[in-house]
Amino acid sequence: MSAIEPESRERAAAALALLQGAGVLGAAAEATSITQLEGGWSRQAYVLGVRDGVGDDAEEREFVVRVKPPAPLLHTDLRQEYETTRLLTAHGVAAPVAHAFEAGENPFGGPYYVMDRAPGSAPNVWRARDRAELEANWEAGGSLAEDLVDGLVSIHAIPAAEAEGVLPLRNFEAAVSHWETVQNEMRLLRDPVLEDAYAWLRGREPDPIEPTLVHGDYRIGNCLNQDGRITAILDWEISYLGDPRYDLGYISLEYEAGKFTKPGSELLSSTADREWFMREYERRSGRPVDPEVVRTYAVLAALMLVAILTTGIRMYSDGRSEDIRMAWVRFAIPGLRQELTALMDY
Amino acid sequence: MSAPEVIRAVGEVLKAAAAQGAGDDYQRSQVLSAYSITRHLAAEEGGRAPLSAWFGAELEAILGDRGGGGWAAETDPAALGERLSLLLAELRAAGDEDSRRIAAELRAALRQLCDREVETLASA
Repeated sequence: MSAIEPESRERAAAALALLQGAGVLGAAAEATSITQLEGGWSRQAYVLGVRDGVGDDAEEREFVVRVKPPAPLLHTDLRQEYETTRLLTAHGVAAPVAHAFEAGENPFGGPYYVMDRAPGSAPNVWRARDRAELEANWEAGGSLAEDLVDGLVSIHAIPAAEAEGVLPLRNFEAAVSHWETVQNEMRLLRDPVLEDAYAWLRGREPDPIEPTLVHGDYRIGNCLNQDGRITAILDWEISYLGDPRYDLGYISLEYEAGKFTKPGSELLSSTADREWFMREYERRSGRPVDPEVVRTYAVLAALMLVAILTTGIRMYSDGRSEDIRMAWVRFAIPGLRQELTALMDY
Repeated sequence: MSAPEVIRAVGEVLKAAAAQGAGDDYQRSQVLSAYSITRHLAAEEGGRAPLSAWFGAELEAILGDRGGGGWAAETDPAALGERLSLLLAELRAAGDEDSRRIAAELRAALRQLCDREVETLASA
């Protein structure tokens, strides 16, 4: 552990011991590095480098340590996220393999779990260069689009009954009420467009369908890709059991195609032709796609995003966070509000 | 110097600090975020007065004395948000033809406001 900075050694040792205790690593395994990844919003992440074994048989491995910090943007349950990830891999979904969870006192300053580091990187659709690369992939045959739709179909193939006890069941009204409550508790001022949108939603409750596992934040930016293929689907912290069409509404948002104050890509999530994606989802899942239901869930998704961003603004305003990005996100809300007015045919 | 010009000047200092590479990734991302805030804030401040005047005039024309009147003079965003939220809720609840018409006109004005606000920020 000599290459690791002294202040990080306790963390590396703790994560290593957790993996050894879970039988993932042998007694001779040694931590070789630990580095913090660029800050997430509700989770901190570290990459742990390990040499497992001795001599020529030693294997270099990398793990990700996912930590719930003391003041996260969202107070979502990390153990639930860990259990969800294990459930997903057991069902063949391309989620990272999670090995062990630690809830007790530890050097990371909050509960954490350790998972394999999947290969690849996640694109940022709000960066023009990343959008151009994603669009080029679509033009070249759309291998990422194929994986994106297959990934969603595989998630929605997990029936709610198989995830009971792991994830909460949230019907349409519960989902609307949940985010409305967050918005009302966190807002700095009342917004007539947002309040009208919640009322609009209540008049458009879709006919219920069989609930499944819902990712809740499904977009190309939450997928690692390498050589034009998706290698892992990440960020399961707001997943739940409910109407799978929510994920279709969410991924159809222009915001998720890179719109901020300027338009993003015309492709869905900067990755796939919009009509192609919905048609292929319908064909591969066997689940009909009603554009009006997708529109309803797109409004709910935009409201969820605003509620989360508002939470960040409130935390910064109240001095509970010193992360300036929490103040910066106020400039993301006008574009989402604009998208809401378009979706509701204002 | 106008307020937007001063904000932009502060932003240029932050941009230069980030470019010098001081600190770790987290610190650099914080400085770049602060720079981005100054760009958007300068654009927002530059467009605030004309946007507010336009929206106030729109509300006067649509609402007149409804909801207490005085719409063009209402410049406090929190007070305006509160009043418009209450009024739109009343119009939704009333449901008569006149209320539906006014609600539709108010929504059209709100959409234009959103469009203009985003257009202003896009100039950052």
